[in-house]
Amino acid sequence: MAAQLPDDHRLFELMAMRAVEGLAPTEEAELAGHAAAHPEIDAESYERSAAALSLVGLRVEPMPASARSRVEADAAAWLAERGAAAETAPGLPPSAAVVELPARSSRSSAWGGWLAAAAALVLAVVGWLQVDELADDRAALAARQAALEVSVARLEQDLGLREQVLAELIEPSPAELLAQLERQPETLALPWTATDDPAAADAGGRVIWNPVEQAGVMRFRGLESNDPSAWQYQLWIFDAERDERFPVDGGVFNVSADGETLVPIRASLPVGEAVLFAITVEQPGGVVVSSRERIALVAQPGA
Amino acid sequence: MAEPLLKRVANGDGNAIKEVMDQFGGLVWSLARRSCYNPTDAEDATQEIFLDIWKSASRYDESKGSETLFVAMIARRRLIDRIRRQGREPRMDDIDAPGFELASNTQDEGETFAEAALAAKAVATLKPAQQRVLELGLLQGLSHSEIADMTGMPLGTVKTQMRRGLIRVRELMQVADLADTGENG
Repeated sequence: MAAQLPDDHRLFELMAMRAVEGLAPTEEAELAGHAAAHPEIDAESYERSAAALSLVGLRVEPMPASARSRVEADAAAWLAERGAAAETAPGLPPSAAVVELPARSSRSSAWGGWLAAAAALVLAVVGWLQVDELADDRAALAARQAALEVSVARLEQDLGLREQVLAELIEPSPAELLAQLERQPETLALPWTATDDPAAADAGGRVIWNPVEQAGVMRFRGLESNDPSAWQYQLWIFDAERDERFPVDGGVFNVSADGETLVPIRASLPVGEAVLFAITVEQPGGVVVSSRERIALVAQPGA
Repeated sequence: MAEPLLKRVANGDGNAIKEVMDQFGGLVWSLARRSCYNPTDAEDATQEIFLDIWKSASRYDESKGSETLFVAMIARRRLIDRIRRQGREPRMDDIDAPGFELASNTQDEGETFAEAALAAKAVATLKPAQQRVLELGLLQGLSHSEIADMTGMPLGTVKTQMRRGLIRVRELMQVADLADTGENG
């Protein structure tokens, strides 16, 4: 069948280019189109030849422990994510596969998200270690894991109730939190810079962040109010200690009226060194990874 | 017959993931180290490659090649993408690196791969011009245009030689693979 295609067919040219120098996204799409039209052609065959040739003379060194630990962390996260995806109901449209984050209107609901994430992580790590240690006893592992899930669910419920009560008792209002943070010397106060996004046409204000307390408040004026059923704002904190592609989710929020708005920051992960705060416009509930199509405001230390 | 490691990875088998890291960690790291300027960059690349391996594991088809080849193919693809993203030039200090023949002879220490030996044998049967084009493209990381500039060959000729070389290597490796299977079976 391959012989039916002329030797200089574009598909072969693209296959060779991908094997040698890589392709631009448009060329990748073009290759995918040709490959789909010619399923009899193994579109990765040139790459496999190139891969074999790249092994010639390769001196293999062991992977350093630091790289290994990073790969292990990624693997645990991938397994957890894969497990979570497998639990979603089949037959849902693709849009439903997007993890929707609940609007975090109080610390108790934020803790719910934290707990769910922590439980998933505990299960992933425990599962990882158990699989490693007890590879020959999968039945026992499954039983222990099921028991652990029940325990974690019970703990989550108990802690959720306690946090709800505690939050109502002790959580300061955004204004109180702002006053409290502004009294502390390590607190950063950074002005927002508006982009060309229409939501931020007349916007300004500051972001207040305390790296020790891992707490902060955003102050806005002139930011366009939003319909929470149509879209919401989401804060992202870029951390010098993390991959730039995966900033820390700082929480989803609404701006309900003109005038000054105070919004507490709900960082989903510890932030090492905040190097950029960015507000994006996202679908209701927010997203796990932003496409960054609409960035409304940014604030940067030293800017 | 044991289920391929990558199929087990695709099924979410944590133990298989650890085995993949044990088995291919050195290979991925060494390819990354050869392509990247410094160890930090190589660590980032290694991380990126393994993430792609987990995600792509379900596409592995044992009828098309070994798991080593699949892993090396994913690694090359990510490394090439990184070079393109960074907009950097290939490592020109490698221009004088040994060709396939010398490289295969100097691999006298450490781990070796059966696929590498087969590939070295296959490439040795190619015409010198094809060998040179493959060496410049695959060992030194030059693009088709850069090879044309360096060798003075017309761009179309470079592309044709590269394509024919890759096809020939694939065919010869398949033949050798079949012969091995026949001898062992």
